[in-house]
Amino acid sequence: SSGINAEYGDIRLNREDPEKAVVEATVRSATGHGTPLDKMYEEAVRRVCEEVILTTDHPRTSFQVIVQIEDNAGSVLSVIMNALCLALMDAAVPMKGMFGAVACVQTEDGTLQWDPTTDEEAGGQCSYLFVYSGQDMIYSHCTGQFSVDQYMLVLQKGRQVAVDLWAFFREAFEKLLKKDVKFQMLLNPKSKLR
Amino acid sequence: MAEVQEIPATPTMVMCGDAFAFPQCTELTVGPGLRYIKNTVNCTKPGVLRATNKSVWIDRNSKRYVPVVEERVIGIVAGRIGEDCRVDVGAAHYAMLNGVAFEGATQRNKPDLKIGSLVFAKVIAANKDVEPELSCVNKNGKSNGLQVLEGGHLISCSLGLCRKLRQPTTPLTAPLIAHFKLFELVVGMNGRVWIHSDSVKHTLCISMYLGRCEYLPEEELMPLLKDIVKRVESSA
Repeated sequence: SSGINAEYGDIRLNREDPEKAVVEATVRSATGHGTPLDKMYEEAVRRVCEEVILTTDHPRTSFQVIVQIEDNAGSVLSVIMNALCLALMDAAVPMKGMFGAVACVQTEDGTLQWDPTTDEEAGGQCSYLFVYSGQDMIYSHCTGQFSVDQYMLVLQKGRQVAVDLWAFFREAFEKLLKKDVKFQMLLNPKSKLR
Repeated sequence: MAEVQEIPATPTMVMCGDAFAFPQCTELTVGPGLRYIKNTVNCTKPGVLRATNKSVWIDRNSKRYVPVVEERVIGIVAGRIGEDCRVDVGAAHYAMLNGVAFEGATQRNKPDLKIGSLVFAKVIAANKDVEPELSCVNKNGKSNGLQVLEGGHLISCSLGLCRKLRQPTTPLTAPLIAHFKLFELVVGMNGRVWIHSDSVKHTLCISMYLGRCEYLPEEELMPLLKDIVKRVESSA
């Protein structure tokens, strides 16, 4: 699955909130008209952004997030969320912390399949999607039947996957920073600037 | 909970949410990209954490401008409300510039600010809840270079490029100074650069050069300028 995320912020808005910035999300799927599923994704994106972005630092403005799903091969919402984190980092939006989404499907015999494809999603007994930020889980979407113990187990394991994700974000961001000669020199341990 | 480290002395890359312990018994200015919470310094933007004896901040290139007091910006006049002008500085809200806030201006004798004119002004008030305010004079009534910019050409660039250009020892302008005899650059901290030179071709060359020079190493700057000049001369 792949998607493109764009973020525009902070911009003027007619319906201002005097205390904080408003997050507007738009999600478009690869083909077809907007479906209720896209609306659900929009709500998920909006909620996660409002949780993570420091909206009180920019009252009476709006952060607009636009997601275009290019290819849907399973675990789309987790792909959207992870691309969203990278987009917000690229746009230098003030955030409380990084966030990462982890998707998982549990089959009949109890095995967990991480980042499921469309077939695996269809064949599973229950599916989980958790978005972690720091120590907390800030958004979840779970379908199917599962016990509390199963839920807690996946929640715990998922956080370890999220930590790996954040290491990847770090690497990706470092590559982006080092395109600039100034940051190359700053981060180079042998450079005189330090 | 991970142990909170000390603020590193050498520049290090940090991500949002990274926390550092605020050093005891010191006065330290916590700069852009950082929040001070419960004796720790938290990063709100990913970038390079830099620290001196007096301040700590996150160095990061971005495009969207957020007004900060004492910064000099280039604004475009968008309208008038009574005596004030609404000026677009590229931020979320329009800034207000008093029509009399110019050197030597009085009620009867003030600059004629039409819609679309460019002003190089200083931000004097930038509260997050209110519109920012600009002025073209300091407390003593002197302008120090702040004025309406006539003619010339305005380009948009990233905030990082503007900061680099404003440093007196930047290598980015050396090729321009070597090649062009007469030109003027006014760099606003809000991602705008105003270029004025003696011919349209030179202005075009300079604006194309500034658009591309940001990420190049020092040795490639002069060849870039020569290449641009050659292309502009040959296409005329």
